[in-house]
Amino acid sequence: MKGNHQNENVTGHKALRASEVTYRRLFEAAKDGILILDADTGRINDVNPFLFKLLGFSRSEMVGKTVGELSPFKDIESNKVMLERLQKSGYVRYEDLPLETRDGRKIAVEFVSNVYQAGDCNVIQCNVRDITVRKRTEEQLKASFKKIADLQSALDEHAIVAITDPQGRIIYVNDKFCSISQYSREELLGQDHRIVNSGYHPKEFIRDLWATITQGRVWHGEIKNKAKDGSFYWMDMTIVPSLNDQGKPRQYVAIRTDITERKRAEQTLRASEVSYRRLFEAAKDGILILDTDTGRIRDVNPFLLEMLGFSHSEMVGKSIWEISPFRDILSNKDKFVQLQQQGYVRYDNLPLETRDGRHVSVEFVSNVYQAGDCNVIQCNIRDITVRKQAEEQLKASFKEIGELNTNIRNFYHTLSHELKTPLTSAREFISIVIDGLAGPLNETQLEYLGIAKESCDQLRLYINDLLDVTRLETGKMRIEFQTLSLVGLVERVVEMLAPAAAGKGVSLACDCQPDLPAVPIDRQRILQVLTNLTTNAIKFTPAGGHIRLILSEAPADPECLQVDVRDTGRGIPEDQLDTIFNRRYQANYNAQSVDSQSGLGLGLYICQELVDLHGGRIWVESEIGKGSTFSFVIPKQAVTEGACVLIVDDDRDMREMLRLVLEEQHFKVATAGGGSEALQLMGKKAPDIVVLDLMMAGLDGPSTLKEIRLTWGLVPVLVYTGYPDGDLMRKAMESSPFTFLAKPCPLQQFVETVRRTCHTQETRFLKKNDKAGRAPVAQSARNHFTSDGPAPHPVLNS
Amino acid sequence: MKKILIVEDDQKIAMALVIRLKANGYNASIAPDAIAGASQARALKPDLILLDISLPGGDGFQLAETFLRMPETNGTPVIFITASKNPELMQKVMELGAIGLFEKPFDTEKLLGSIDDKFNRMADLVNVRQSSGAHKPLER
Repeated sequence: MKGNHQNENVTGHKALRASEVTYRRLFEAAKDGILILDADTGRINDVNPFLFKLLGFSRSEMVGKTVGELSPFKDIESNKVMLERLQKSGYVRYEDLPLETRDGRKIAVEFVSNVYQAGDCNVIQCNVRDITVRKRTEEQLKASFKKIADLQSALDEHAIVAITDPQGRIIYVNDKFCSISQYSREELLGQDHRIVNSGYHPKEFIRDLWATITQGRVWHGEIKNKAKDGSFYWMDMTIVPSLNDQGKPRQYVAIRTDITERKRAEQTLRASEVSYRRLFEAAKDGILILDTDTGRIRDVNPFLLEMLGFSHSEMVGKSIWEISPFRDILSNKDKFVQLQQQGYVRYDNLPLETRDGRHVSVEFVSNVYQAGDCNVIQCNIRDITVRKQAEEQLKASFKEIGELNTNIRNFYHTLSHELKTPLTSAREFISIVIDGLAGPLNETQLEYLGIAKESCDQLRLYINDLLDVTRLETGKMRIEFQTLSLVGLVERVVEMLAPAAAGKGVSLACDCQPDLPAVPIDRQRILQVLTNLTTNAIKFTPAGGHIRLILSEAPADPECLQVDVRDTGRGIPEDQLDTIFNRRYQANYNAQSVDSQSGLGLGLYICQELVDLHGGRIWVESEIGKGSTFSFVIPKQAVTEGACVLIVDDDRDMREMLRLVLEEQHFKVATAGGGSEALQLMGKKAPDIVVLDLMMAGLDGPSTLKEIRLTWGLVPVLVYTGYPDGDLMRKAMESSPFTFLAKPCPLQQFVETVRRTCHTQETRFLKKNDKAGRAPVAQSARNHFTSDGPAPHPVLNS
Repeated sequence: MKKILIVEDDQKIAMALVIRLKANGYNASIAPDAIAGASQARALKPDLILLDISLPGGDGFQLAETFLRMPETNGTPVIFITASKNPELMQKVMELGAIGLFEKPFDTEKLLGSIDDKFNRMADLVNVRQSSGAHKPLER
């Protein structure tokens, strides 16, 4: 039996051996560590190469030892406990067991122990897997996740984030997106971005955006969006496409920052920049921007280029003294230093020569100011050539006026002489023949010569009228006042013209109020007025009519005498009454006259002016078919002759010009350069009239006028201002009455206005019950300083 | 026959005056400028001078002053004739002691009237003087 048993053993032994070999190979080649312990003693039976190499030992160093004796395992759970647990449960597992190798490397292992039967004894097999790399990867992954989470929360804190799918639908928004767009997350998710589209950007802009991101490229730009309430906000936006494996966008992450404030500031800045630029480009003054340190030209506006004849590139970048027109100005180092130090340089009148040799005069003002972080010099250059020319013209005009006066005087002489001399001989020889000194004449010859002689007389009258008008227009008409009785003159005219009236079958008489005072008049001139009016009356009154000259105290003004020349002629059409005294009046009224002595239409104009020069007034009342009454009044006391005028104006040239003009007209003139000086002068001697400028430095016109009214009452004032509708005028109105004249006006008009103001202003206001304001005029202005309250409105006399 | 000197540069006017004056019984002669006026006045010793203010070779006023200085013409009445119409002239005319100022174109009748008038009055004065036996000629 022994033999069978032996065979069985041999067979068994062989099989065991084969399995043993296979196991052994696995054991030796395994990529995990394997440790075989004696289950009873815990001593190491065997260890595979992977493990002893991993731990840095040799096999012999490990076999026969307990696990606890080996340094890598010494810190872990005591062998004893582990052993007990193993013995009890047959299984122990450590997911992550940190070991230290012999050479001090830290490794992490997965440790699994099983107890099993090996032959007749129990062994423990420990599988030790190195999980160091796996663990490290895991930790890295974990760290990455955290990092991403941190980044995301930082991003969410900072930016407005939205994620969109390839179809453009919103699949994620952060809180900030919700808050700025004012939509809730629910309202946004699933929508596309049109929900916040502002409509501001052109289609191309949006198309370009999509074209960029659908190609997987990053888009960056600024975009304007619309919030739920319709308000707009600006975003700086980056869209990052996430690509799938095929390289197609899987989703788009849009990260935005709110730049609304910046945008607004930019727009404001741009608006101000644009408007400054526009000013700069469109300015009608030259503007030059220089670098403060170097004096180099930074910019120059088109107006200056045009003025100087340079191109932009020729000037920019050059030093100012390299530009020929300025060579002599700022090249002066002192001037430039002064500008740098004081920040201001001004030339009132700087002659420049342009590139093409023209000479211009400019006003040159330089200021230093801060532009961004550096200082620049801005030079404003105003072409005052025209202004200077105007000034020179004005000066030339003054001179011309002077020359003109002389010329006019010469012209009188020439006109008188050259026209009157031949007229004299013509008339003389005609009358010599008429008188028979050249032999006998027949009736027809006598008649014809009579007509010729009459024409000579007419011509003489016209020449005189022309001379008078010329004198009036040039202010050359002299009024030689004598205190005379008007009665004598009226009677004289009636006597003189009686034959002419009688010849026409018209009665001519006068009716003079007794005991009238003598008045200051120019005898010759009043005679001329009376003759003219009476001759007209005779001319236009048919046979059988009546003409009466009535002299009386003016019914409307006891300070004046009035003469009426009343006829029973055909009357004057109402529409001609206004123009009848005009200089160029040549109405049918004259042309249709029977005897065709139409004249030049100057007679009534001359009458008006002459009466005016006497401080009086002339007017006409007429009724068609019944007759006309021409009336004029002459003040009992002369006013303007030698009247004292105070001119208050801060413009010296203006003062002197007005003085010249008024003195020429025999006014006594004082001038003041300002309100205070005027009041001071008035304190010494009150003038008869004040000519007052409104816009003055120091005490201005209205304030001066107020002071004048307080101290001197209603002294006549003529406000002569260039700003008749400004605030100063309104302020001045508080101290009315005054006469007002808009500056500038013809000098003749100025003189006339002064004259009229002098003697009509206050009486107009004092006599508020004047019939139709017609009977005006006059007392000496000097008598009125104590007059009572001012009238409500100024006299407008523009 | 009274002698009248006409100092007038315009020949036509002078000629017309001559015709008029001769017709009125005066002996009239013409001087066309100031110099001729002075020399003729000295030679002729006229009874009256008609004097244009505007003259070549010195104006009528200067000539009138000359007449006052010359013994031959001192006291000879002067009537001014002028084409100018200037109130200042009248003043000057008075200062020079002239007896009249006529503006061109003048009224011939009035001019002749005032000449006749002058001589008549002078004649009257002479008569008065002769009858009163006065020796000293009266000043105007």
